[in-house]
Amino acid sequence: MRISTLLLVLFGLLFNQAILAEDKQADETQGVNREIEELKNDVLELNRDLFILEEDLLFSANTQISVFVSVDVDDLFELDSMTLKIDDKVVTNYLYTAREAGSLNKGGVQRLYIGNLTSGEHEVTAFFIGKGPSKRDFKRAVSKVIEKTENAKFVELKITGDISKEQPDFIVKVWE
Amino acid sequence: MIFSKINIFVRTTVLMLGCIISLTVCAEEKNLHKVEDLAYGVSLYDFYQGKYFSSITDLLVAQQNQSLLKDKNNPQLLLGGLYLSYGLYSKSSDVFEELLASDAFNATPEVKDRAWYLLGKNYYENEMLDEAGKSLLKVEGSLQEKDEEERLYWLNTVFLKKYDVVSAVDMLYKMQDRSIWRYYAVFNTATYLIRAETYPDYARQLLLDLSLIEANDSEEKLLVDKANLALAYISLKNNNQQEAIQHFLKIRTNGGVTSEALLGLGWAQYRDKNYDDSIASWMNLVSTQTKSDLMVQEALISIPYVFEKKQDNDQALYLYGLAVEGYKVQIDETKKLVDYINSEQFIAQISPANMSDEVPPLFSSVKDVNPLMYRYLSKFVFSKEFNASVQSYQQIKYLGYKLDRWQYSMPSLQMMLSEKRSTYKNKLTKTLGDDSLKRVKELITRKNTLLSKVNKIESNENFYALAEQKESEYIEVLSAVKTALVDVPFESEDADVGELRFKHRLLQGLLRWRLETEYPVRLWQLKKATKKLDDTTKNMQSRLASLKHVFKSAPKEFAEFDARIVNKEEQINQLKSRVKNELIKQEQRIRAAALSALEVHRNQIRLYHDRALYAKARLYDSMMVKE
Repeated sequence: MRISTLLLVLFGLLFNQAILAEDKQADETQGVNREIEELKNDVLELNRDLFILEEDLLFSANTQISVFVSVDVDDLFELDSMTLKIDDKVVTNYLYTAREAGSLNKGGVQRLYIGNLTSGEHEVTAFFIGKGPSKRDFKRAVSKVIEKTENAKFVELKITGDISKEQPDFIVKVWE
Repeated sequence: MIFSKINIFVRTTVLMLGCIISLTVCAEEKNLHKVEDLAYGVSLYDFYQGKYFSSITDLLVAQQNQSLLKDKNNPQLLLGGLYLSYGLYSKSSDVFEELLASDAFNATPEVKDRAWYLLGKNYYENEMLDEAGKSLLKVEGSLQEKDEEERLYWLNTVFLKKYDVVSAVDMLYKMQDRSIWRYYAVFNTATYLIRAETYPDYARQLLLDLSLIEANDSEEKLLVDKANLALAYISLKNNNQQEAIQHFLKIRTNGGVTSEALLGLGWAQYRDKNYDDSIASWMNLVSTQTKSDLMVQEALISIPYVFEKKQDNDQALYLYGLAVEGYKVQIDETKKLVDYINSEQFIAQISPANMSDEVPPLFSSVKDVNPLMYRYLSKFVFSKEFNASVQSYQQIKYLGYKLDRWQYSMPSLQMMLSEKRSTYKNKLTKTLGDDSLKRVKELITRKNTLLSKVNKIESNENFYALAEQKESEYIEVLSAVKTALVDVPFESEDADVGELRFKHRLLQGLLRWRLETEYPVRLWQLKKATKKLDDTTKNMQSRLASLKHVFKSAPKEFAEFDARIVNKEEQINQLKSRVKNELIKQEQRIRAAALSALEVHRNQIRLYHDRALYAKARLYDSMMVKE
């Protein structure tokens, strides 16, 4: 037992963060990592293709309608849930987790609904349920008649803030 | 070369999450990062929830569907960052290089700086130090302060790894005094200099400065402890026991390097001939720290050694005996740990708790860690290497889960296609048997005739043609009267006939005046009505054309869908088999790494055990000789 033992221990602690692999092992690790990288990439590309295939098959552009939700308001409204009706039929109810609501508040856009609609006029009604100013329960509905054409229709349900009134505002925006 | 490896004390948690944090910061700047395309917003929605796989897929789908029209820079930046966070380094550098090279992106200085910065980190992860340094140096100053500090830290690290001390030190002076990144860079630079045995005074001064910072959190406090430990090491090396003791005593008694400090303190006191103090320090170490800690093992054998020095052989003999027993227990326990690592339980422990979770956060990857793992492999369990391997394993598991789900949904897609096909056949038969198509064609012909009539009226200004029902009747009556008046011979015309002629002219004039006056209004109304009719029939024609197109193209589309489904099914099967192989490999790697770390520990305990046994025997012998 020598002081050199201690110096070695301290030296190891300070300067040699555990090196578990030798150079050869490091090369093997790199090889495996490359394989994993390729695998991840291939699965991602397949996932993309399957996603598109599913959408093409189930919701072709001439009948597709997608409804999105976005939030551009600070403190005036906390979204708890949404109900979406198309032509007076409920097509989706959605309850948000704190993580999802947080994601919307940071600028994320949620695809709330994707479905099929025939050409012509349809009424889209959205119910926003949550907490309004002063944390009071708040429920508001907005409606808009949209014209479904042969192109896919994208509708954005946007929660914005009217600072002058200190009230949230709800907008239905149709993307061209 | 003096050093085959330069080991940098990496700010681990930040290293792994660094680019994510940076991206988040960027994305939170709503004004800079306005969502101009829904598809980009959808990707951000997943990104903010930590769902990188989904977020990347969103962007890839958007690229394929060409739905990123208004903003190309930010989605590209996000994609590159996501690839980097997801461990797809090659794809990540492709994205950043494309963003920086292509004029098509018309990137702003902010976007370019961020791209250079992330590209630099990417190169660093791939050990491409020259490229990393060049990329990080290309940042022109639009990074946020926090990111700028991190950039300088990475530059310091790159320079140290390239043995360029002057440039590395230069980075220290560019960093903010109170920046945590600077503290890490200072520590790394100082320990590099000590190891290289160059500029020792400067290295010592750096460590002294670091040891005197006002540490506000556990991360900073650990750095201060490490600085004191390094200073104590220098003092011990210089045979300055008293100074070493002072540095050891500054280290917290409940920090990350307490064991090392207590062991070192004991040795410094021993070298200073303060045997009782050194025993007290080591006893403190043995009683307060984890039994399996190698520092404790060292203390267990050091304590009887000092008693031996103090000529207290009985006590030394007793303590050597205790140490031997303690080592035996540990050797037995580590045997059990070897069995555990080789068991399925270990794999279950590193498997994701919830299969649908995407990219679990680092350092929370392993659930319910076995107590023996904590006891003997705590450093390994918390190491970046182990956690990165487990994370990778869990990511592969998630890929398998995704592939399973797709495979499960393929029959549904196939069924949907069959349904479409059968609907198409039914509709085709029905439509071909229906005379609606014929009627539509007739209507279109009639509309065309009507349109040409209206055009003719307009070109001839034939206002009589726009007479209403009653007016047409009047025209007929007036015409009949006119004919009748023509038949009356002039010589037999009396006053009544003359009055009749006068009235006829008057009424005809009135009628003509009315028709002529109202002609523009009536023509406008007629044209409006015909335009509406024209629109309706055009719509009908377009639907007819679309229907014809569908009828014509549907069989081809169905065949294409069929081929796509079959092709994807094959790909799923191939990838599933690759996932299975990678999982086996990764399990083997993790097991081997754990066993290797454990073997190091076991060898050390065996060594201590043998040394204790030898010391005990030696002491017995010497006592026998004396007797």
